[in-house]
Amino acid sequence: MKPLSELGVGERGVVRELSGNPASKRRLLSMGFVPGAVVDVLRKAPMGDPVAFAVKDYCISLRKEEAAQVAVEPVEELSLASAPVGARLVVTGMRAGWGMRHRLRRLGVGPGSELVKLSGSGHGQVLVVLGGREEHLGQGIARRLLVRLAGEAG
Amino acid sequence: MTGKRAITVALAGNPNSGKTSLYNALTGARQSVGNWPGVTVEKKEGRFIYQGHEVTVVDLPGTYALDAYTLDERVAREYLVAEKPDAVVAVVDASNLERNLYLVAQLLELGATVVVALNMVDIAQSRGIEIDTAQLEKVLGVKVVTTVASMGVGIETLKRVVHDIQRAPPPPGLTISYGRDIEAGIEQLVGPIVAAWPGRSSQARWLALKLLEGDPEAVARLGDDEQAARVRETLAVVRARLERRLDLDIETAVVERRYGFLNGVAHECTRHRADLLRRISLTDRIDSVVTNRWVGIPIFLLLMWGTFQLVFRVGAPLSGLIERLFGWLGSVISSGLALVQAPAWLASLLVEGIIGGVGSVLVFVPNIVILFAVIALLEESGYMARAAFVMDRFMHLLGLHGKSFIPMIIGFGCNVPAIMATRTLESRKDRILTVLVNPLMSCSARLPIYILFAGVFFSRHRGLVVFSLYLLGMVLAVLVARLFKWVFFKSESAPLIMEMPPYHLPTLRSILVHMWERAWLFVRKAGTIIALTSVVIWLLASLPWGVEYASEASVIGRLGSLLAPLLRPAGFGYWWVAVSLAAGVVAKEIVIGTMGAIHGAGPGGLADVLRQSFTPLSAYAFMVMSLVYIPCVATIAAIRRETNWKWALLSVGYTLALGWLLAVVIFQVGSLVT
Repeated sequence: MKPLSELGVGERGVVRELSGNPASKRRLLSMGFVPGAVVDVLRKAPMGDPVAFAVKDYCISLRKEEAAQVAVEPVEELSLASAPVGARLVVTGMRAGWGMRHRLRRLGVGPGSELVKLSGSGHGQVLVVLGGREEHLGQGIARRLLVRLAGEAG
Repeated sequence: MTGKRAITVALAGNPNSGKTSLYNALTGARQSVGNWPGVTVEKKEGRFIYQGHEVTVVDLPGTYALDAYTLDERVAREYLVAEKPDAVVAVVDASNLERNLYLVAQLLELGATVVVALNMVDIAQSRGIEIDTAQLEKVLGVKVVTTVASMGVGIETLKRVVHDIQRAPPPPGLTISYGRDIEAGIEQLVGPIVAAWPGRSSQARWLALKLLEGDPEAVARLGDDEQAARVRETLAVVRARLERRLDLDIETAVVERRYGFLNGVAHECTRHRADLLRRISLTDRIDSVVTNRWVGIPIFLLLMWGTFQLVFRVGAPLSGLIERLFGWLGSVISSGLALVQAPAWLASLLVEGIIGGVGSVLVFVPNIVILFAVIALLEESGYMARAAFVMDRFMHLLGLHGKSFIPMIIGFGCNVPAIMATRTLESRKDRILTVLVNPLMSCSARLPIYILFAGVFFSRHRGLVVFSLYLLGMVLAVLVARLFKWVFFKSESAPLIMEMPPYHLPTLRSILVHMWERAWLFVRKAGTIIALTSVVIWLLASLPWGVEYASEASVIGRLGSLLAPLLRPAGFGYWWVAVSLAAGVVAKEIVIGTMGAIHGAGPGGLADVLRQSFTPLSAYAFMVMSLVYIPCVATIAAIRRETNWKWALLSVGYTLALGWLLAVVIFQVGSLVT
């Protein structure tokens, strides 16, 4: 468990408990930060604070002080970067902005597409087999491409 | 039914749920519609007639819940508990069902007769959300009417349902089950509560829940008598037991259950739920630019700069047109009066007093209309919340709050609504600070002064000069806020918990309504207060009878001469400048109007007088003085209403001292340098 304020952009957590200042705690609860709620970190303001989150199907911004009142269980998602080499993978999602999504779409990568990771457990590019072709993907993309092992239930 | 009993309906809903549009659609009232948290902060009442029955609609402040932590929530809850309206129309944003239902659940628990207005169904549909209203009616036990308030869709049905529900109130609807332990606690508390307040038995369950949740207001209101002591005792026993049995604290557990129930309702009643990211993808794309780490703040500043360019570049030719119109009107009237051989004083009153005064103010209508159009566009598109998001860190460093930014921007239009808008700030401290520095945000009424002076003395760089004044106002606001925070409130700051509504294109109609309201307000002010002041000033300038109009020998001249020495160190120690500034306290537009009335001419003729009396340096000092000194009467009244006399007097005192000091420093230092 860690404070919501310590999640990075693109990360996800499940709310476990709230603490601290009673007025803002109550406010956070009313706005949907209840135990069990899934929170996505959307983006940070230009000066790093406040931070925008998605919770209960809408977007809300909190300062780090308030976000620190919410303890979350980070949801560890398997990304292409962290997946084992040689595994057959199914794309489940993309924690990517519009530009990257567009590039991935052009490569034919989207939720449901299958690929095999051939190499790239370090910091360089990741080599994958994708629809019969081999493609090099950058670490940035690989970290944001969420996958599950093929054969596992979705 | 023959009894024409008056029906009262309260309108409740989240900010950004379209509540204000619905209020307008129901009552036909005209007021501003915004897209940033909490535009509706005043208690507003409207009326509609349905089948001969008059229905009063009370617009409650937009709130996310009925907890007692914010001023808005306290106001709304107090009204619902004390006044018990016949029905509550809960406005629900269909594209954000679950969180919007949270307020509905609290309304139902309070025992209110609720009608749900499922609003913005068009936007929900475009985002791939379809809501089964029949199912929603069934699970909540309330009537649900789908509406698109901004287009007037569903309003007649809503009126009918509200009217009918009052005739035949439905049985009390929803009871959320909070699980065995909490329910046992509620049951145990209800007995003593009913014994303590027999008249409020219908709200006993709600009160029990609030006490369990540790609601500060409910606890504080318990009282001290024997019955209340019984309630308190039971509460302590129940709380101790629950703390042991639940894995969460009681408050969190209650809210979690409530949301758990609503999550179920939302799932049950919503079809084709698209992925959140896909639904907000357009908003997401815009935000990735507008709140971007590198370009977010430049974009914000650019938008502010663009606003002023628009106000000047587009406004100037239109202003010229109005100016010519008034010049023509003046000459037509004076030649007409000469034709019928009217007395000379009548011509002087009409042409020099009224047309001179009012005309020189109305010239600025185009600028003000454009300014308000831009502000409305920023508000209603949803950008205002992003501006607060982008600027919060900065504002926080300066001792203010990201939400203070919104009233500050509105202050550029008019300080009165801006000061009212500070009610969205939750802490009293942040609110008072934001209120106190708001008059330093240069309102549109001060714009005529800048336009005239910058146009005459800095014609090549007038945009820059005016921009510098706006900037100076902001810098001063920050410094003063820091100072006052240090002097009066040395505690920590209030939280920032702010919804970022999805962007949407405002309708042309709502922008026009907003623009029209503001322009009309300005024109009406020009027509009444300013015309009246113009007449009074004309009188003062003409008395004692027989003196040369507005000469130093006149009453006004003597008054001004008394004050003028005080202004001499600032470089504009003229009696007529002193008079204009004093009159400007009534409304800042009057400063130029008074100068116009005294010198008997519109801005064209006034420019020559100014050129003879001011240097560019003293003109700048004067503009700074006009920016800072004493807020107008309406603003002072608003400050008093939102805070108290103490703060209102402080705002008058510090602005006068600061304005004078700055003008003197600018003139004296500038004279040394040049």
